[in-house]
Amino acid sequence: MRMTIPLQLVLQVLLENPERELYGLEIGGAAGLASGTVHPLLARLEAHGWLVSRWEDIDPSTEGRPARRYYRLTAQGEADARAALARKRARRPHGLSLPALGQEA
Amino acid sequence: MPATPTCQRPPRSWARVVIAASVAVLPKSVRPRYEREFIADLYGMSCWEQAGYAGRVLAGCVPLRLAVRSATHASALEGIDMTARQLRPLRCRLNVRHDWHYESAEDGSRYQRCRRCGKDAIGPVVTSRADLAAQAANFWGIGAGGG
Repeated sequence: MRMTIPLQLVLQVLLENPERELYGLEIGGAAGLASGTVHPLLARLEAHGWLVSRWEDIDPSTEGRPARRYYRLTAQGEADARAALARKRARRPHGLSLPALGQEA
Repeated sequence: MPATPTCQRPPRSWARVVIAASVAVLPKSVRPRYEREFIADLYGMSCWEQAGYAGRVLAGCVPLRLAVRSATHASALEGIDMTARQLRPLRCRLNVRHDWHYESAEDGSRYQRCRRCGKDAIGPVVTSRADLAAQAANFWGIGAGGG
């Protein structure tokens, strides 16, 4: 899988807390990416087996909204993602780094 | 009826239309899932936020289609042996015209195989041009003795 910058940002968000489940809009907000960018990446990650997704288990009439789709890294996905990000960092020219999540430019 | 404290602002109808148009380009099997997912995200957004979100989803529908289709295609091809015979050109499938060429077997004999579809020619094994001439003469009824 090509490690584009948006993909790296999404993986950084997911790796912050691998046990935590996040929905698409939440991942996009944390990574600073639009939904049109995030969802194709999530689809590719899911196809590769790095992510699993499920519908939120709620009662829509009580919550006042429909269930969201939550994503979580698999164990293999977490290991592969960490390895892929480490390889990318090793190849990056000296001094260049991804913007820190949540940090202003 | 008073709204419950947990009731979130529902999406506008035009936002739902834009989302429906966005997922229309996706494969049929995943359309309901993504439509439901995108609509769920719209809840609680202001009018302008819904417009921005729906617009960004529409802008990203083609990359999403490519991502989903490549995943679907890869899983569909798993276990399928895509041999040349299954991908035969029309002329080969209709047996109208093959692109015959000579190949050598392990025992040194030669046979004819189609370059396009991999089909082996049915008939006597041809080992030399003399054999070919003899078979042609035999076919046309031209005897060896002449006359």
